[in-house]
Amino acid sequence: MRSSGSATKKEASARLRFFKNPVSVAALIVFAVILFCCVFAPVVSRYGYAEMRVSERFLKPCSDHIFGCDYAGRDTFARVLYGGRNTLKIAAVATVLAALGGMTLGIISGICGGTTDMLIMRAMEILSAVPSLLLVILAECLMGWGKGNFMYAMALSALPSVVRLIRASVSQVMSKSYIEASRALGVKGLRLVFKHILPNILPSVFVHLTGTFAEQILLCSIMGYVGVGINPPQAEWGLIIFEGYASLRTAPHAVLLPAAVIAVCVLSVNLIGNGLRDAVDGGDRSDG
Amino acid sequence: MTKYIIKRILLIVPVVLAVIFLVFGILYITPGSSLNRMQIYCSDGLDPVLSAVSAEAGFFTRYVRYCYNVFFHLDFGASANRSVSIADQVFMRWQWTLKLAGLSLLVSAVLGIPAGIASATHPGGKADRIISAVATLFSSVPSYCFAVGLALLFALKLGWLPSYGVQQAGGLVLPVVTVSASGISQFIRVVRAAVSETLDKNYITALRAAGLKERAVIGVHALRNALVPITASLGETATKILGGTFVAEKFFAVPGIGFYLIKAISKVEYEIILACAASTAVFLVILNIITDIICLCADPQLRKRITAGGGKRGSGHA
Repeated sequence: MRSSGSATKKEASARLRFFKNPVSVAALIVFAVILFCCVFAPVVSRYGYAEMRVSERFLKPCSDHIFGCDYAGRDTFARVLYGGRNTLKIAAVATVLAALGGMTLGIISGICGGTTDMLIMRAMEILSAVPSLLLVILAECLMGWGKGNFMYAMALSALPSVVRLIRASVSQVMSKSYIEASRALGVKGLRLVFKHILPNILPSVFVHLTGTFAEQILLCSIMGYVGVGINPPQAEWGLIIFEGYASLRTAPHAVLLPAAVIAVCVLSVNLIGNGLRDAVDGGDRSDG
Repeated sequence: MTKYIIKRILLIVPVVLAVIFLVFGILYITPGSSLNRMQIYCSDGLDPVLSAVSAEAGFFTRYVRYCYNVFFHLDFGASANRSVSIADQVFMRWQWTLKLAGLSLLVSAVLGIPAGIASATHPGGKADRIISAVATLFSSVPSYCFAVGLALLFALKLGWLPSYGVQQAGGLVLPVVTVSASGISQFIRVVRAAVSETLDKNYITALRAAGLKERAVIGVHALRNALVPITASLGETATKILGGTFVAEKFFAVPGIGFYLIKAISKVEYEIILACAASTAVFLVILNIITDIICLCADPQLRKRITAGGGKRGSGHA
């Protein structure tokens, strides 16, 4: 009981530290705004992502179209929002999948040790040797192009680093005396994992996952940019940049504004991650 | 230790075969794949062995024959219209990719390592904050967005450098800068973490207490020990840089392996996808093994553990 009480206290102080950091709070607000606009895209934007008006091709930003229009006369702002829906959704699902898989494998690896551990870690080594782009491309060959199925492959590419982190944290926690104590009291199996190990590794895992999420956003949009991601009539952040690049000379706004949104979004996620890391680390340091 | 190195080098063979098995297998069971129904071609016509049985040849026969052709004849087959030898293309394109990736790795290391050290030796200072901000920025801006900015500024507005065409003078500058941006942030992060962890150690305090100059403490003692985690992460950094190279190749039309792969995907040429994927995977496996060996040479503790414990790394719990 006492350990869980001090854990909540630690959590609360970490939260306080996070919200005291102006950079993290600003990043959180920026990301929340972007997320909100993307989720409620149909409400925020008056235009659809595939609505074309030939008369408005390459329109400069104005009050009606705040980001202007692209080569097909589609509202760029609407495309950025709908694109964000796709990109953020795929990246989030991939991150959650990687987290679930990584926790399962990492905890098994950290607790069991021995041959199981060796096999899992070797498998992760092989997996991490394949560039994520290649992995996703192979998965797409298998599951069909541009259907968004590649989030499973994206999750797979993020898996090794999550497993490695969780395994390291688990073996660190396992050597602590409170685990020894609870084992001596007869706590074992899933109860040990959920009650005693998981709560203690969760903060650092969460910090790591924020970084994974940022990486997944980049990966997803790179797929779109390269032309093996979401299929064209749909919107996707990388795809928007690719479509706009052909007219960079005449209509730079169709590329630069979406690019700025993508960069700000990933930057805010990374800054939130940094803030969380500082908050969690600071707690460990003050505890001795 | 020599035994370990030899073992590690010999391990290349099964790992490479396994990797090709995986890639070949995935592309083989892909719906509509040409790998399982076509007759098997070498670069100079029908495969002499398999042409007799090619209609009935199963997965395993094809896989074995493919590996045999690749390793003993350096033959990746021919493209769908049988006009070019894939092997020639693959080797030509790897040269560009390696040139781009190698230059980028060099630039990232030259800029990233000193920046990381400077950042770690002045924690919380102005330099640290600026360098960390730059690292976060570089790792956050997608490489293609960065490339768009560079192309717009240096190719369109200023006209200093070409935005495509590596044969021209300065054609490689923008691709290298694009790839280096993420490489620099990677190096800064790794070096900063490694050096600041080393500087926290007791022996550094002892050296400082003994009156050693700060320069000697950092340059000789801290750096040497920080080198181990830095080399250990080199494989990962190189993988990341290679991934970045693929994007830069597509953007700046560098005729590298990534560009070839992406073109093959849009034309659905399974033989070429296979050749690019397999050669990339093999390249990375070898690279990882080389970094492992370098790590071993740089880290006496690891060496000791391997000679003593037979390379066992189990945590020993439960």
